[in-house]
Amino acid sequence: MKNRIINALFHILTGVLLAIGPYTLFQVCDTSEKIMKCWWSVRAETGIGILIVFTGILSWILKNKEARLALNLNNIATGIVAILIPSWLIGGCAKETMLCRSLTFPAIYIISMVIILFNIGNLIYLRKRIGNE
Amino acid sequence: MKNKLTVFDIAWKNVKSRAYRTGVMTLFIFVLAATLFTCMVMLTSMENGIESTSKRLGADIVVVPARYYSSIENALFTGEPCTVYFDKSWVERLEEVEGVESTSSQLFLATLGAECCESLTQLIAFDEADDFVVSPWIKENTAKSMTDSEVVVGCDLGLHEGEEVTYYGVDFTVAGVLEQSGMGYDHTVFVNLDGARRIIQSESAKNFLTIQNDDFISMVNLKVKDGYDIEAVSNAIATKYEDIAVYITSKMLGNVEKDMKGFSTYCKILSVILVLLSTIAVVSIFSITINERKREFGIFILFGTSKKQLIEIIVIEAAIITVIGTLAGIFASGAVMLFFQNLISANMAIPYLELDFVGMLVILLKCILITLGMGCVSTIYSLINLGRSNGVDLLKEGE
Repeated sequence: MKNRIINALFHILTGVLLAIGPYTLFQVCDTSEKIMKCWWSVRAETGIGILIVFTGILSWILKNKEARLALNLNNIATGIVAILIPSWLIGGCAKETMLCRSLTFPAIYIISMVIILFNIGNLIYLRKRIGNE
Repeated sequence: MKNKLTVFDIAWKNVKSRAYRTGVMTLFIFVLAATLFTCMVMLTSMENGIESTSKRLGADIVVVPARYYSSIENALFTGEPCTVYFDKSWVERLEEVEGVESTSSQLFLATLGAECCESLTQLIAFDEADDFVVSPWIKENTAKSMTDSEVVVGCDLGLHEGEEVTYYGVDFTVAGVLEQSGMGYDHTVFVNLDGARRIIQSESAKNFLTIQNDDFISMVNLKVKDGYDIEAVSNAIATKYEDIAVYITSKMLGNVEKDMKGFSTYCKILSVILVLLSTIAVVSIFSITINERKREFGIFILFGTSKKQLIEIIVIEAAIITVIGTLAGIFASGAVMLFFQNLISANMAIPYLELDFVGMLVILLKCILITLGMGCVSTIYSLINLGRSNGVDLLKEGE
């Protein structure tokens, strides 16, 4: 039960941060007439954030350890995609001093890395628990 | 024999079984290591930035229009774009001053900020024929002269060699990307005088720049003849002419160094307070838990464990917690510093040159040594207490 609650709260929090953060806490530049790549990257991250929140809710509901283990694996892959969107798949502004490159993307990378590390940790924990049963 | 329990095994099992105590102590070490690492990396990067800037400034004295000094200083040290107009006739006047060996001028133009990615950029135009400030550095990086349709760019602009760029509607090709300097040059576009002339004569420039010919510059760099005192020459210029600001380049950096010293003092005070607080906290936790574990130690002694082995167990426990906390702290701090390096350097208002691998490794080892030393020192009080008691006393006290 404790593991399910921690998992759910963690994913809801990080998911909300990924979805809303780029528009509030670590904002990209305002859009002008020409929409820049960083704006599309941030939109894609919103989708990723919603997915993470959804898996957080699922990990609360699902009692089956194997199913939660699968959710952890899915979250690791989602975290990797969250990093790849601004760094490779879509990208951002060229200039390194722009807000997207200096603030928004680094914040996204750190949140995604925390998601990946947390899920790896939980994966190991659940594997042990399943092995002990 | 393979399953023989070593002192390390016992220490490791103790650390694992007391998860709450281990977690709290690791957290203290984590905060300490992260703060120490951050302070050390930032201070060293700033020192490197100032050293690199002093190498790049090149001239002994710079002369700028009086009211534009701070703009030029910001452009040089932090890359904040500015456009500065200074009459070209000043070059001749300054050449006449006794003690001046040579002069070179530069024109500072801020580009237009039309769209998100085309935000303001600093353009510096220089005359390759007489320049002794940036030309040697540019030639060192690109190994060729520039044409009027080429620019050389700073490393932070995200441009690559051969790429096409447009400033004031005039197209240029990137002839080279400069190595990192830690100063404003990393965000600057360098163009020769002919290139600057093309910009000034462009339609876009006519709408935004108040200069229509190349009789304007922004800054004059002076080299002082051998045997002349730089300060005396600077004073002579300042006394002779009005409406200009005369600065000795080493003193320009002096102001930056003063800012850095202020920051360095805060960092050192913070580090000392943290080391003290963490030591007190870890010593307290260790003393409390060792008092609670007296019965356990008594049993160990009665079963034949020597005091030396007990001491080893305690020291190894402290070392394990310290190493885990330190590595986690350094990893977290390093990741934040790495990802946010552009934001940090942009907000420092001080030249900031990122460290290389060896520099990082040296700081990492220093941090490990400090925290490991602190972790081991924090066990001394407990070890002295333990040394004074025998097994039976420990068992009685622990009941």
